[in-house]
Amino acid sequence: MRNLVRYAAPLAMVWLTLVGCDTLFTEQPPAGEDFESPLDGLDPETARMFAKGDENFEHVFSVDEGVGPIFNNMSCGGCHPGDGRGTPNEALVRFSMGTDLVPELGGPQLQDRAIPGSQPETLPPGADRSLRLPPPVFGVGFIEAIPVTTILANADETDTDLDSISGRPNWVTAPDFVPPTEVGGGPGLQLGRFGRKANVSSLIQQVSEAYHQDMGVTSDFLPTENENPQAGGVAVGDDVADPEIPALTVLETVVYVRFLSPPAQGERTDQVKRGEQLFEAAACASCHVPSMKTGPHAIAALNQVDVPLYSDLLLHDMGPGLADNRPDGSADGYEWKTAPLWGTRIIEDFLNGQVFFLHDGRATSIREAIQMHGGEAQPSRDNFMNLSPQEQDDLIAFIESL
Amino acid sequence: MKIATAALLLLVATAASADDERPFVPGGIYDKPFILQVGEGAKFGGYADAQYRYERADGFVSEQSFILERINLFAFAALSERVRLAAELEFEDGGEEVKIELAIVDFEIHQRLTFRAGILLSPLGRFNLTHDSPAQYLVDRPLVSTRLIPTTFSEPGMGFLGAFYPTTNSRVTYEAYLVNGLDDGILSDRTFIPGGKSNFEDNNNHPSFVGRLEVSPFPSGEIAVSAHTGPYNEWEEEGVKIDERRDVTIVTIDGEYRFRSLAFLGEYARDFVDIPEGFVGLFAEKQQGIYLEGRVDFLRGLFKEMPNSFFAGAVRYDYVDFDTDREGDDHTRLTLGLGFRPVPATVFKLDYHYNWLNDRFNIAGREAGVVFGVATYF
Ligand code: HEC
Ligand code: HEC
Repeated sequence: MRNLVRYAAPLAMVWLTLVGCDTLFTEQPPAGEDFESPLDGLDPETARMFAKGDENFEHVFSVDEGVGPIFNNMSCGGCHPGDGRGTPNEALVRFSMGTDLVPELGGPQLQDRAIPGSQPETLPPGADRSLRLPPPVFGVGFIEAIPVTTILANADETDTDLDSISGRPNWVTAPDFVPPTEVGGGPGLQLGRFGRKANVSSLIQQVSEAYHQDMGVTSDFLPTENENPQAGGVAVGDDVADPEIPALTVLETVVYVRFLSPPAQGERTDQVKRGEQLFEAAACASCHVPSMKTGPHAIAALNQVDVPLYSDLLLHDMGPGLADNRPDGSADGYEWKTAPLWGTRIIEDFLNGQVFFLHDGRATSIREAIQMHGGEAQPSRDNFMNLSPQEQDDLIAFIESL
Repeated sequence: MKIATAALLLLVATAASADDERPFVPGGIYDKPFILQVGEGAKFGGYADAQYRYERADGFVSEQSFILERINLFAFAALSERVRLAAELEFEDGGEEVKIELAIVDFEIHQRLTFRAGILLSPLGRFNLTHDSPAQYLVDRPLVSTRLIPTTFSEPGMGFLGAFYPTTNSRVTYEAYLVNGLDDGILSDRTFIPGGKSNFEDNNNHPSFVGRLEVSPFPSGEIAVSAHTGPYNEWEEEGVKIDERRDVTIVTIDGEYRFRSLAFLGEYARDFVDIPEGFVGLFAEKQQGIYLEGRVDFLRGLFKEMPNSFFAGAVRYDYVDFDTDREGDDHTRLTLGLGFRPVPATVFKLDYHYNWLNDRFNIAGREAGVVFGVATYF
């Protein structure tokens, strides 16, 4: 037996050394290198909600849990991988006939999947369609915390400064279930901030509708199942009693996306600094406004801080090439919200080495995305095209550092 | 018909080798210590498996826990030369889940033809047939045997098994059963075959087939193919078609070779699942997985007090591709294990494993851990 003791001691020591070793026991990914980290300094209650929301975001709804009857995907994470943007595989189609959202034909969103026993929707002939790539979801808490006046200060609806750029807000109405205390809630016209056309004014609406429209999951906010009207009135629903999730689940998920931190900016090399100047000089920054300041906020991390999102959150006519010819709120078929450029640095890390840009993901490089700018952005695009190849590379290097 | 005739010919023609010492499945249900040790009448035995786990995922402790993984009780009775009965009860999760893992009656018509009925261990891959913790060299089961093949996979069913001896040294065994099969639990939040097991009644009134053919060219090695196939969903109700019929098929190849104090073993599995139209692209239609393991016994009888004791080392490579149509959605694991057996039926195991995981978008994650396990037959 003495032998056994003699061997047991070194073994135990080997084991203790192992447990202490990070390389052998996995390391935390470096801070600021992902889209799914919380903002610093959350109080325990908010952090708890955030953790629940994180689980909700990844939760894949099964048929038994109420996905469908018609739907696009089974989880938030299934469309927003790693809390970043999706690929064209995850893109969804909005449709309408002019400004008529045609609910009787299944508008305004095409649910092209259905659970067994139900029929998926098909696009009605002659409908105006808009293909939308899932945007990243981090940083929406900052976007929400920027005061309306700050955003409107960049608007120039009639192009009074004659720079051809005339950003304008999308004024939308909030659904009744959004409490007036929420940013973007209440009666009357509200400033749209979310979605590719700034078509949604509040996070509660964005998230409730994601559950309802994208996944077919009913909640206390939207308790009636979204049926396929094209199925001819024989609405075969799922077998799960509505609402399928309580308000609390939606609110946890709202807290989760609200407090997701944008990644840190990359190294500011000389090339990046040169690129930044060119970005200003080519008038990219007229729409991709480098920074806006949040208003007073109860959460310190959101309280009066500069938000380096590189967007004015306003609508711009981007020309016929990018037009979807489908109005959305007060946005017309040529207009798109300036896409924020933060987090561009690590997009490919969370998209299997690929990148997709613009509202439908048609551009597979930054250069392509710039080349496709038209309309109000045409002069700025031309500025870019007139740069020397080296300068173009510098400018792209700058965007890739964000 | 041709096949049936050929099988019959084989049954008559090959020489039976009555003095073969090989158990039907080495480490299988009739090759457990308690059966071999005790005398007449019904025999009882079992095994227990207790663990301590320390695991981390991307730098955070994901599990630190003491677990009584399972306790199993076996009963065995030879009612006559030709009739045998075996049963196994499994207690998992601290007794919250009690399962009849096995309850079979065997009627041996001939060495080449035994009729088996009851709740049987599906002969789908060697590991499922020989999964007892004390028999294993590593604490955790292979990924392919838990994520694709739902070990312990047992189902109510009936069928035949038998052994043939083409030459004095070689042996061919087969098992073929009709069983209840899997249900649509295999599709809940992803394609996950284990989610569809435990059907004590058939959900679609349509049996599935499971079978295995093993060739042992010499006593120290075996190679085998197995398959499990059949419908998993309900597509008819009282004669009315309510859905499309959807099938799931799992195929495995496994092998083992023993040489002195070394052993090499492995298993490959591939599955094919019919997916409802609305879920194509969200649920995997094909999956595959493999494990390869090397084992070595050493320092036999190092301690005078324990002449039968020995140390056992093992290394295993595990890989499962949860969706062969996608880049990503896979799991690779490397495990190193050191075990000590004071007696052959009892083992203390210390494993370290490192895992490379990729989600459906090929976003990488890492997990690693140490697991200490004690497992013993009794
Ligand atoms: C079918 C794919 C899909 C699913 C599932 C999905 N989303 Fe989205 N999400 C999108 C698309 C597409 C947009 C842009 C919509 C638009 O332009 O109107 C979007 C927009 C958003 C936005 C606004 C981002 C911004 O800055 O404009 C948030 C926040 C969001 N989703 C959160 C969620 C949450 C939370 C869930 C789960 C409850 C979810 N999404 C599920 C596709 C999806
Ligand atoms: C008139 C306003 C405007 C100007 C000027 C402008 N952009 Fe844009 N930019 C947009 C809008 C709007 C979008 C989103 C278009 C869409 O979704 O299809 C966008 C999208 C992008 C994208 C893709 C981002 C993504 O995540 O999909 C990049 C990259 C980009 N712009 C870079 C530039 C650069 C570089 C310049 C200067 C050469 C520039 N932009 C000038 C309005 C502008």
